[in-house]
Amino acid sequence: MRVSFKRRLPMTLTVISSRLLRINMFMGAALMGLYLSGSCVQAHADGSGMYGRIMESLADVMQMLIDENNTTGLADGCYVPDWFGYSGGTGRVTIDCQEVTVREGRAYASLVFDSGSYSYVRVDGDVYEGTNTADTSVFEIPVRLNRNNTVTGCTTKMSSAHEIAYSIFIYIGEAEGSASKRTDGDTPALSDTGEWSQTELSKEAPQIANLAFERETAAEHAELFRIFHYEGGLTLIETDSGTDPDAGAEEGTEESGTEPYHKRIIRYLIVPDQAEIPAGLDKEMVIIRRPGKTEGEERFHAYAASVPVLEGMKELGQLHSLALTGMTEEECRIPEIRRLLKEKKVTFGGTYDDIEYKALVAGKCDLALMPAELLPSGRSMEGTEDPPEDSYKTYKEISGYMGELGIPVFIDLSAMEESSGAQAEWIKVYGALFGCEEKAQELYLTRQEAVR
Amino acid sequence: MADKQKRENLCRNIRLRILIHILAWTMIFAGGCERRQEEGKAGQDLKEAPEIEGLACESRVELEYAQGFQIYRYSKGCRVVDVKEGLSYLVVPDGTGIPDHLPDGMVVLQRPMDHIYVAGTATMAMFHALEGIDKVSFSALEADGWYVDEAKEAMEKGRMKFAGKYDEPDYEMLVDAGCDLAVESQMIYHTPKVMEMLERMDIPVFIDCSSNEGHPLGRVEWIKVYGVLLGKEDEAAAFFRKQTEILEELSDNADTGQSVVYFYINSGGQAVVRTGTDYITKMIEIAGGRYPFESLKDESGSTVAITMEEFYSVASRADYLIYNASIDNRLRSIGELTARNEILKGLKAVKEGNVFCTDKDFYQASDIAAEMIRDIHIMLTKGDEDQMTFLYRVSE
Repeated sequence: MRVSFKRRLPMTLTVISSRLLRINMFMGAALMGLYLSGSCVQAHADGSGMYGRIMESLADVMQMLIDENNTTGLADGCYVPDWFGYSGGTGRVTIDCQEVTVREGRAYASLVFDSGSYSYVRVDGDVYEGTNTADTSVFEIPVRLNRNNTVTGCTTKMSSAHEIAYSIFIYIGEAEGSASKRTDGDTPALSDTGEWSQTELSKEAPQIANLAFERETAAEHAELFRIFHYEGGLTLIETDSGTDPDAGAEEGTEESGTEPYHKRIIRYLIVPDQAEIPAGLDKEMVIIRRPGKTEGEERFHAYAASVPVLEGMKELGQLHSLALTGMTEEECRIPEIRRLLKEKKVTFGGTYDDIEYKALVAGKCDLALMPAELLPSGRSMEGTEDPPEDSYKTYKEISGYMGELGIPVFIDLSAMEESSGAQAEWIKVYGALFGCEEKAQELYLTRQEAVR
Repeated sequence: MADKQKRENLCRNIRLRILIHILAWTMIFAGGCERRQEEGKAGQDLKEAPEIEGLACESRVELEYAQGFQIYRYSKGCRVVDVKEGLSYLVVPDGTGIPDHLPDGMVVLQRPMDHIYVAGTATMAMFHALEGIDKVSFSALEADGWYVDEAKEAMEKGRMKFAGKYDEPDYEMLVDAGCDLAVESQMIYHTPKVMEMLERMDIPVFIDCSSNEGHPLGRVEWIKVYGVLLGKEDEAAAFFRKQTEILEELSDNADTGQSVVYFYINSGGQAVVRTGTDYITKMIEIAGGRYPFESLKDESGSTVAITMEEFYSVASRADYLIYNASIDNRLRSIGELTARNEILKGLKAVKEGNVFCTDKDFYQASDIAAEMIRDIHIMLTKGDEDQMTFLYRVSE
């Protein structure tokens, strides 16, 4: 019986499509084979000749398909980054990015170096030349948004060409990978402005690049700190010292690397041991990395010169994180710590205003906990007199040297709180620093009960 | 008659004796004056030497080309190294006590120093020449950054460790292992905090200023300073003497009239040439060549970048080209050079095939300036090119 055309069509189509499928698979396999063999040949071929060129273009095509590269879901057009950060280099040259262009679904950033000596940059193995003026070098490079990108700049400033590696992070809220894109919409409110206030503590959790905010540890009585928790175990502590540490000081620019300390509102970001954070955050905040686990527990090698902090460490059972103190055995009023000093388990690292840097380096110090007196405004807490002139110098020097050694400094402002209840609440801060917030909360509640 | 003769003889005798007296006393006085002049000069030499309580300055090391330092010998085996644009260093031998009162700003270096951190690249060659690499425990470059094979090997075997670049030293590593001296280049002046921090770690800092020397052998003469630091002054003097001898062997230093251009092309496509006062320019002149760009000047002192057109206008008639591969990669053929810019095909040296190239990292080889001068001389006099150590002829 002859099958009608109508019935034959689907059959034919099925046959044809399955054949096509087989052909496609065959072609795909052939292409892969050619690519693989081509890349072998490429290693030997000098690029000239038909075969070489075909192999090269095939390789390029395959490469493009495999790589993530700088594709983005953003619509084509020009964008101004919501935030830009970079790290690397010596700090003498600054980099800025004010413009990101999206063309055919790929993102390109316009990177400006404030030095005319950069002859090229390298990204992912490709070299990009730019435009140089006497004072600037501008490059347009492909970038992955909302992620760290490694960019190597070549400067000809010195007698031999130098390549310097930088890491850059461009945050655009609308692009994929940003916090708002990743959460389900029931995240707590974030502050509207991209800027972090320099004159008061944040009322709502500040936006930190693409980090998603999780929850706040509220301060009930204390007025000089805030604690915000972000995804990935990151914690932001903000403290308010009441005045800009440099106000009243003589003219003088701070050295790069210590900017976070020269503000009224100091922000500390506590980061888990190996976690990667957006490049350039260290220019805005003090980054405190948690130590890795040794023998099952995390321990800092902290230098502590603040008595409330030492008390807190004792109560939280964190004395194993103490390596150096800011007072000698005779001066120490806390028995447990006096004993540690006597047994030489903890050493004297110099007073907070006269630090023995060598002792800190020898003791592998990775965190310095300072009293409020380190700040010029902390010195004149009692009266209304101006801080002594040398207190500005001391602060600048110590923050500078600690920055040079790579030791983050945390300044305990509990002594500046008005009420003892507010002072006691700083145990929550110490809990956040040492990763034992539950214990801190317990202690705080117990104290509250006791007062009542 | 006899009387007259006798009188004449007497007169002649007297005149003779007077003459002898005059000659003798003149010589005595003259000799005395000379001695006093010598003493006066020696006193003059030591007048600039710092005064140190408890130590007497005995003599000064003679320098032939270097102008950037002085070395004074004191009692008890002490030495003072006075760096003209820098600091004064008191080098105290092993076992000798350090004087209580020292002039302001004087840095004490107590021997032996054998856990040294070397962050000045020219320094490593000096240590190598003095067989002192084993005293270097830390370096500011990774293994593959060194041209000195012995240093590279020591790093690969773990005897020398990378302790961070000059502007980011690993203080912990240095303090842990008892680093007793940091030798830095003048780059450290850009990062004064690092220098202060090293001093706070009780690590004295010595700054090598040899790159300020205008004469290439002046740079090499800094080996005498390292001889003092390592307690190998005789070896340093011997090495330096050998270098000056190589120079003396170039007897026909007379101007060959041939011109040599020393340059490289940077990634911006510009030609980077040496200034008229640079030490490489001096080397060319000592070797008997002329440097067509001798009127070029720059505040930084050593190199200037110019456009290819400017370069061509001066270099087109140069007899020889030396391509500086310290920064770039080695040239494998003249074709590679002309591929960078077509205009180069018109250079006389290119047309005649007189293009040479330096070995990579020549700038680290500060100890063999004399050999380099000899290489240039061989090139200019069409000598035996197999004898060249740092230059090679680039083939077509």
